Order: sequence, then structure tokens, then C-alpha cells
Amino acid sequence: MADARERIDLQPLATLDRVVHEPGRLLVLACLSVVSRADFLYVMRETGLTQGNLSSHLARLEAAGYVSVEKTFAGKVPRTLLQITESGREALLAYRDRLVDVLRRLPG
Amino acid sequence: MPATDPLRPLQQRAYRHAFADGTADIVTGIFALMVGGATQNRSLIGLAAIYLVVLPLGWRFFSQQISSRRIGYAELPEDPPRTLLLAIMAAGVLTLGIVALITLSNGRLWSLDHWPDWTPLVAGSGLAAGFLVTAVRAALPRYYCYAAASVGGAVFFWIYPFGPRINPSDRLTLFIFAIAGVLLVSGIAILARFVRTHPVLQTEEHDG
Repeated sequence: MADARERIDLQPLATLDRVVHEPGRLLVLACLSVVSRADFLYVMRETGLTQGNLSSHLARLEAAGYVSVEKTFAGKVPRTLLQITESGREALLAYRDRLVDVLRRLPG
Repeated sequence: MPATDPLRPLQQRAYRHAFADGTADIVTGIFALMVGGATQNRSLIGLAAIYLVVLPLGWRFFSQQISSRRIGYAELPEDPPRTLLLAIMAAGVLTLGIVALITLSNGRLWSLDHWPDWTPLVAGSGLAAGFLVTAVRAALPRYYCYAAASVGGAVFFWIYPFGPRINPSDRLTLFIFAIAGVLLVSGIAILARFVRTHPVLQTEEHDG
């Protein structure tokens, strides 16, 4: 009886969005969620990710439709502008709520 | 323990980023000069209202030119200096409104005979509120200093015996000019240091 009562349902952990769950991508999404848009350099500095790492995370987030990437030029200098999409924002909030919910069930 | 928003530090960092190059302080100082001038020539308030719209756009352009290739570019949902400009405008308009009420009730609008000495206190409170909001939003120590300078300066310009050459309206004008001066000097110093300590990055470092 006691075992059954104390059994914790961790099933929702398995349903966490894995695109968001990866720490690097979570950082990128969190960083973009507080600005209207930002460029590659800003996100790289804020997250502490390397150029290659950030590029690969962005490719994954863009493929999931969570981030929009716009390549422009500022004069002759190429510039990558990044913006979290509506579904990206929803995914971030859903991930946060689900994780908080699961953590709340843990004892101690 | 109250739950804290985990995104709050990121929001503060984004705000701090917007103030990193000092151009916001310079723009705010220019606007304070204009509002200070309006305490002597009321028609300048109309011009200040136009600048209230134009200056944040100008700030965004110049800040982008200076910062984007050094520390990156981030666009916030609201241009950060706008809150400060609104606070300065509100402080100026509120102070002049109070003076207008007092002088008019005593017979002549803007009469220096009935212009109270304590008007720097009203303006100083408004300015301090604007600086404090920015200080809390961005966790920026220098904006706490500006708020303290607004309160301290207001008390000084209220009670210091300048003598007969300085009339009560001059006290108000000099106080706002002094705050504008602090903002401009600080902003220029921060901009100079920022440009020196943050070199323009090469294209390959800059972009993915």
C-alpha cells in the first residue's frame, strides 16, 4: 500500500520535447525568448556556445520551426538575425511547465 | 521562498546589453537639456514631445552602428531609453504644471515672484523614479547613482543660497542641466571605454 502511494509517476519525463531538452538549445531558446530578435553574435556571447555548436543547434531549432533565421547584410558584412517563433515560445513554456510538474512530484 | 522567474536574469542581461555602449545615457542627457531649456522657454516642450518619438529611433540606429559588430545586436520589445525619456518629460511637465497652477492662482502665470524654490524636488523625484525603474530592470549600478544624484541634486538646488542673481526658475533649470551634464559626461566616458575595450570583430568571428 505504502509503495503504491509513494510510487512517483515519472512518465511525463519521457514525453519532454527533446529538441528543447538539450541544454544548448534550451539556452538559445531562453535567450531568444526575452528579446524581439537578436543576431548570431549576441546569442553566441550570451549562451557561451562556440560558433559551430550554436550553428548546429540553430539548424535543429530552425528545422523544428522554433527559431526563424534570416540572413541579411549590414553594409558588406553578413548578418544572421534570429527570432523565436510562436511555436518555439509555446514549446519552451510547455517544456518548463512539464519539467516543473515532474520535479514537484519528486520526494525530498 | 517566493518562486523567481528563471528568465529574469536573461531579461536583465538583455537590458544591460542595450545600455552597454553609453549611447542611451547620451540620448537621455540631450533630452534632459531640452527639457531643462523648456523651463525657461515653454515652447520647447512642444519640440521635446517630437524628440520623444525621434530620439529612441536615433538611439537604436547609433547603438546598432556601434555595438552590433562588437557585442552583437539584440532588439528588445521596447526601446530602453524610451522609459527614461518619458520620465524626464513627465518630470518637466509635472513641475511646470505645478508652477503654472501656483503662479496663476497668485494672479500672473509664470510670475517669478510666486515661483516656489522647491520645484527641483518635484523634478528630481520624477527623474529619480525613471532612473530607478531602469536600474531595477537592468540591474545597472550607474542608474542607481543617477537616481541618487537626482535626489541629492534636487535638495542642493532647493536649499543652496545662490544669492539674488539666481531666481527660483533658474534653480530648476540649473538642476536639470546639471543632471543632463552628468548623463552626457558619463555616457561619453562609457562610450569611449566601450569602443576601446570592444574591438570590431572580423566577419568570420561575427556571423554563423
